[in-house]
Parts: sequence; C-alpha cells; structure tokens
Amino acid sequence: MILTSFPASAAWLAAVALGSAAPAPEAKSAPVDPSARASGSPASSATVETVETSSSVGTLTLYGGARGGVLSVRGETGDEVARATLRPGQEVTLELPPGLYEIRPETPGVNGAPVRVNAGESPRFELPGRPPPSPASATAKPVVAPSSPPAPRQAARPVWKRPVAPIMSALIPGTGQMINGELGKGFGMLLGTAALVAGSVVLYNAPDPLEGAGRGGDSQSFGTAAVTAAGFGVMTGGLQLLYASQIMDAYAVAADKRTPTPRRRHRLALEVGRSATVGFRVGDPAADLYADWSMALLVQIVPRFSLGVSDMSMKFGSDVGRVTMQGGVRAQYRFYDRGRVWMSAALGSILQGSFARGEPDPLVLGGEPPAGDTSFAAVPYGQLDLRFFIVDRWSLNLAPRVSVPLGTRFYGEDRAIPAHAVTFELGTGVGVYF
Amino acid sequence: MLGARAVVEVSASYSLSDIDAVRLELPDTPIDVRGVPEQSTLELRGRWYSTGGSESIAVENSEAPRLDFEVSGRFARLAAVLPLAERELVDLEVDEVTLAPNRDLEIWTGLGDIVVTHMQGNISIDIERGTIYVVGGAGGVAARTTLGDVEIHSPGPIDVSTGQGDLLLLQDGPGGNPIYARSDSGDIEVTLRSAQNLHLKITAYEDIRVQTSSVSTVTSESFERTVGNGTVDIFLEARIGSVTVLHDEFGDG
Repeated sequence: MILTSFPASAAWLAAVALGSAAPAPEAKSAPVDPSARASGSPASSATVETVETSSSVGTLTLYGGARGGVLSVRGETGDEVARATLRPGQEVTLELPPGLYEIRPETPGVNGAPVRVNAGESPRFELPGRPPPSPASATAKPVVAPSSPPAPRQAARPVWKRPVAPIMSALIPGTGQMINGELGKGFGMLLGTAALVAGSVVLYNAPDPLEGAGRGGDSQSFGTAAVTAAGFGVMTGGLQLLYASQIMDAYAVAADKRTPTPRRRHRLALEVGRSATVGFRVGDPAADLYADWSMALLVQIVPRFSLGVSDMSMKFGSDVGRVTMQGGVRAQYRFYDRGRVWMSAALGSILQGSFARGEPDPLVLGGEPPAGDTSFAAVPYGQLDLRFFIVDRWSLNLAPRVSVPLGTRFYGEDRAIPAHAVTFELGTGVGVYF
Repeated sequence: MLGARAVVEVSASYSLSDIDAVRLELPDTPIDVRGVPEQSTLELRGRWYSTGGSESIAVENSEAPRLDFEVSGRFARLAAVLPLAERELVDLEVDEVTLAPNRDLEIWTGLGDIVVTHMQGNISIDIERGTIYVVGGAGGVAARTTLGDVEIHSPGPIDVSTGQGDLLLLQDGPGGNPIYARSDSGDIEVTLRSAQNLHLKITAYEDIRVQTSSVSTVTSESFERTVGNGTVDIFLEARIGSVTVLHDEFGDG
C-alpha cells in the first residue's frame, strides 16, 4: 500500500488505499487552474475521458468539478482501493495497475462510471461543473493523506467457500458460519433458528382445535388469541429474517466482503416478503394473524425513485375452491442511504380479484354447476421501507405499512379483512438489486 | 386492524308436509336438533355474526347471507348461501332446530358440536370437528367426526367413527342392534342391553375388557367371540386406546 502525502492547502484531498485484491494505487496531485479547464467536462454530469501516456503503468485522474466531493475508487472485486475527498476544481492523479475500476461519487445526483486503466493511458473522471475562478483555488496545493491507518488484512479465504458456505447455511442454518471458521456465530445461528422454529410450532398448535365448536361469544378469547397470533407472527417473521441473514452473512464472510457497498444506481429491485398483521375475525378464535406473502419488481427510473409492480401473489381458500389473484403498483422514493442502511417511503395499491366456482346442486343428479362468484378489491397503502444490506446486492427489510381495503381483502385459507378496516401491517423480506 | 362487529338474529320456518328426510347443510356452527311431536314444520333460530371496517359495513355483511330451503321429492335440504365477498366475514351460530321426530335427519357442517334428541328416524351426522351427542335414532345412527368425542344412546343400529376422541355407546330398548365403532385415537366403551347372539370382533392397541353375561375376558390387541347364532355384530376398533364392553340389561347404568 502506498500513500503519498502533500502539504495542506486551500484545496485538500484524502485518499485511502484499502489494500484489497487490487494493488494499491499511488496518488499524485497538482494544482489546477479552473479557468484553464473551462472547455473540459460538461457541467451537468461526471465525465470520463482517456489520454494516452508513455508510462508503463496506468494513471487515473480525479477532478473535483464545481462543488468537489468524495470519490470512491473500487477494483474489480468491488473492494475500495482509494477514497478521495476533493475540493472544487481540485484534481488528483492515482497511479494504478492496469485493470477495470469503478468510480462512485458520494455526491447525491451524480452518477459514477466504470473506468478501464491501461498501461500508458490516463483516464480521467470529472465531477460536473467548473468552480468560479479564485486566486485561492488557482494556487491551491492538493493533499493526499491517509484518513485512517490501514487495517491488517486477513489471509484470503479459499474460493470454494463462497458457494459452499451459503448453501450449507441454507440447508442447515449456522453451518456456513462454521465452515467460515466462526464456530460461535454458527452455533448461535443454529440455536436461534431452532428456538424460533420450536416457538413457532408451539404457538401454532396453542389454540384449542375445538375452539368455536360450542356456543358463546368470542370476545373473551380476543386477548389470548391476539397475543398468540402476534407471538406467532413475530416468531415466524424473526425466523424468516434470521434464516435469510445467516445465508447472506455466510457468503459475505466467505467472500471477505464484510462491509457491503449497496448498489445505489441499480436498475431493478426484486423483493420477496411477507406483510402481516394481527386482527379480529368473526367466530373463534376471535383474533388471527393475517399474513400475505408477495413479490415486487421495482425499476429505478431516476436516482432514488423507483416504480414498479408489487404485491404479486396467489391465494387459495380452504373451501369452495376460492382463488385470489393479486398484484399492484408501487412508487417508492429513497430518502436516506448511508452505508448499509437505506430508508424509503412508498405509496401503492394492491389490486385483488377473487373467484369461486359454483357448486352443483346436490339434489339434482348430474346437474350443471351454477356460475361462479367473483369479488374485487383495491387496497391503497403507504409504507416505510427500512433496508439493511448484508452483501452488496442483498438486503433485509422491515416495512411498516398502513392500508385501507376498499372491498373485502382476502388472505390465504379462510382469512379476510373487511372493507374499510384500517390495517397496520409489518412487512419483512429480502431484496436483491441488479 | 380497526373495525366493528355486528350480530343479526335469524329465524326461519319451513313446511315439512310431504317431506320424509331433511338435510341440514350449514357452515361451521353448533347445532341442537330436537324432535317435537305434532310439529309439521322445521323451525330454526340462531344468529349471524359478522365483522366490518365500520359498524354499518358489519351490519351489511351480517345481512348478506341467506338460508335456502330446497325440496326435491320427499327430501329437503336447508343450506346457507354466502356471497364470496362476505364468506369469510360472517359466522352462523344456530341455537336450535326443531322438527317432527319421525323424519330422517342428516347434518353436515364443518366445526360445531352437535346435539340431537327426541328424534326417532334415521340420524346421520358428518362433521369435520366437534363433539356429537345423540339420544334416539331408532332408525339407526351414523356419525363421523375427525376430532371430538361421540356419545350415542340408541335403540337402532350404530355406525360411528372419530379420528381423535372417545366413543361412548349405549344400546337403548331391548338391545340386539349391531354396533360398528372406530376411534383412531381414543377409548371405546359400549354398554349392551342384550348379550345374546353376539358376534364380538374387537381390536385395540391397549386393553380389551369384556364383561357380559356370556363373555368375560381381559386381553389386548384383538379379541373375537361368537355367542349363540352370532347375528348381532359388535365390531369395535380402537387403534390407539382401549375397548370396554359391558352388559346392563336394565339400562340403569
């Protein structure tokens, strides 16, 4: 790892070589006269241009543009090899071994770009705009300084663990961690999963199967039924998140990617999850868990704003062959994305159509069944999406949601929420970004 | 989830003139059926419970179902018609059904305890879960439930099974009627009025006890014995449980 320091000045820069799979860069910088580069990059977006040089190694020049900013330079493995904080008009040159690098500006609204560094060439990445001419910036001396001491690197893990560890965790929770040498964590995952499974089974079987067979009001059993249903919902939701997270964690550790870099500039997001609520129901038990598994496919049409289809699923009733088909639309805006945490707000609507076949008249031998029955409902909702990344493209999420069905909203088996029943749901799921 | 509940009383009356047999085919509900001499109608009393996002919607939902009485020849069927949108939002609870005791009766439902008394015709009960209690049924009693105890006092033939539950069967009248009983998980106890001409065929995972005037044994697994001409079948099977056969000639317990 090589770091080159320059004296502090009006413009400054910090670059940190992280010692990843890509060889460490060598950084150099020079003062820049912003007025001299007025005809260079366009002001609206970051640009990349390449200039051939006679050197045997490649160089990469980073330019701060009108407002400066932080640039992350990542190697082919996705690891950060340098990080530069540039002031307006400032530029720095990194000497890098030939290879493909990705420049990721951390300035909102500015897109990054992949850059290929070849021996003898000098590609350039510029943040948009030009700073106004000023004596201070024109004479500024850029600085390259480490922002933190480099962390000691562990020996690279065997490549075979990358597929094997997550697969083993999928088959037997915790074993992927054990393969990665994290025995304590692995046993913890295994025991945690086993405990959640056991608790879920106990709560699932807790209600008396003959409850409701006799007469009597159901209000007395509401509290017990609600607590049981909520407990079951929390247990199974926790199990879902723990199971998914330990698979992702097994891969992250095996691939030595403990600090993920979420893909802010993704095109497509695929989400699979469950939204659940505890609510009253007619008959006994007086309360129940209403859980709805579904899938969503969202396209990021402009930075931070996504639009797509959501809540897609099918459900089947326990009698009369009821089939419910469900889909919806969702618009989502990501208002926070720092590190591995994203937060978004969304508005959407579920559209649900249900069909039930007619039953033939049992008193008429060979009689034709009557026409089936149908039902339709729209369920507008608003929700928050709290997302936590474990690996670059994979995340877990919690999504509290408020919805109001405009019509009977069906769930699986014999569950339904009546029209106009304001519903508070909690979603849990997994998202992957492309 | 925020919402409201509603309850609507329901009562109905249907003529049973020229009707020999009636089927009650109702959604999950407990049902008490009582035979009333000299009554020529079928009377039903009960209520619909419902839920809704508001009180008015809950009331609307409770009023959506209807009872449908269909007649085909000398057979009648009382069923509930539930619109799809309200199907999961309403719940029927029948208080009592009364009808002439000499009609044959069928009861079909899902979850519900069934009580039938003072009926003299054939009684057939088929439910998914719930206990069954029958007194009467000189024309014969057939009962099936997958979960729940069954108790039958009848002078007629008895054919009964439960998936999980105990069976208590008592012959009424002079006895001599066949009994076929099976419990997948539970005990069976049979009290006979007559111990003549029996064909006993018993299998049980646990103990088998037979104490009649003509047979006395304590064994396990299986037991078979013929008494007299063996015309009265007593076939009992307790897959996980015990079987006890007693003889009470005077029916005093």
